Amino acid sequence: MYTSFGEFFSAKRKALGKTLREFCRENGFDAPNLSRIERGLQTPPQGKEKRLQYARALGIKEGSDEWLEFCDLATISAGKIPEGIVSDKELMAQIPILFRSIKKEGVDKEKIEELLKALKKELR
Amino acid sequence: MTFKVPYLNYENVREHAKIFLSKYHPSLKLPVPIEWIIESDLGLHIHPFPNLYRIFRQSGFLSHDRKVIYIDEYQYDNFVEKYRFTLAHEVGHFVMHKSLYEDHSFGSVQEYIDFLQSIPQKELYWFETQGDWFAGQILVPTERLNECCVSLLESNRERFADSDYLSPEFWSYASNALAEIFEVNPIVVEIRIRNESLSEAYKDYYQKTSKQIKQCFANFP
Repeated sequence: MYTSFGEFFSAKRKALGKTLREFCRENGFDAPNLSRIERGLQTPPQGKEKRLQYARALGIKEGSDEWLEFCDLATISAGKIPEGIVSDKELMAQIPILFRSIKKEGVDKEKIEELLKALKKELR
Repeated sequence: MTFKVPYLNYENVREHAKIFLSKYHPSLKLPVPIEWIIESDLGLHIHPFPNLYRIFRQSGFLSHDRKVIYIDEYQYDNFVEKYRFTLAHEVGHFVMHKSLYEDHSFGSVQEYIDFLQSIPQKELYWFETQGDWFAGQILVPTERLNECCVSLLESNRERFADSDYLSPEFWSYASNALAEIFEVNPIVVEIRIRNESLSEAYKDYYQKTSKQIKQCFANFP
């Protein structure tokens, strides 16, 4: 029993023996988007066409029980996607513990802030 | 809040790598499916991050909550060997540096920046070196490396059989010849050969009898 669309999607993909990269490459999907969907950070597809495209790639037939579960989870999960500003707590869970750009003269504060900004973008 | 990377030498890292491989890839079939192990066995997400290297000079990093490995998107799409090494390196942090991730938490961005500014550079070097060692050892397992070297030596017997000893240059050639099998860049194999002292062990390979060669095998960790 899956509690989210992302969890379901990820399990189905892995059941095909495919890594995210392979799956995206073979089906022409955007890996960062799909990664966000699997992680529950991005709204699952709401339109039928896109859902069918994903379902076919996962080997799910339209009208099957799995298809119904796929659609139900896509609808339910859509309401659970975090929105708005990324909280400090959320951001701090994603940061690198060390930053390789640390130099003798110390860490570049501006670079860190830029990285955090880019990281926030990846979370929404 | 001080940050002290545990001192692990090559042998300590070897133990971690051995345990990891026996748990997640006991067959040692090559290439080691590191991407699959990360996603399926460790349950981590691999997330391609645009311009991570171009702007921040980072090939990848493990998130503080140890649930996501962020990878430079360009590397993810274009350089599979480098990508695999980066993944294995981050897994090294996941395996060996768990306590460092758990012992340091940050309530705000400023707290995080203050923390980074307080870390001595040498700690960073230890941290990364251990990650590199781990990556090399799991992607190029000693047992398989040894077998591949012997196989390569055998296939070159005709050319070098009359040499008194094999020059170190031979091992640069060997690195290129073997890199494809392990799906890593040649430099990774070259460093592994050096760290396992294989050039020394096999320098007079063609003068040895098959019994001596077998003995050689038995001496490897």
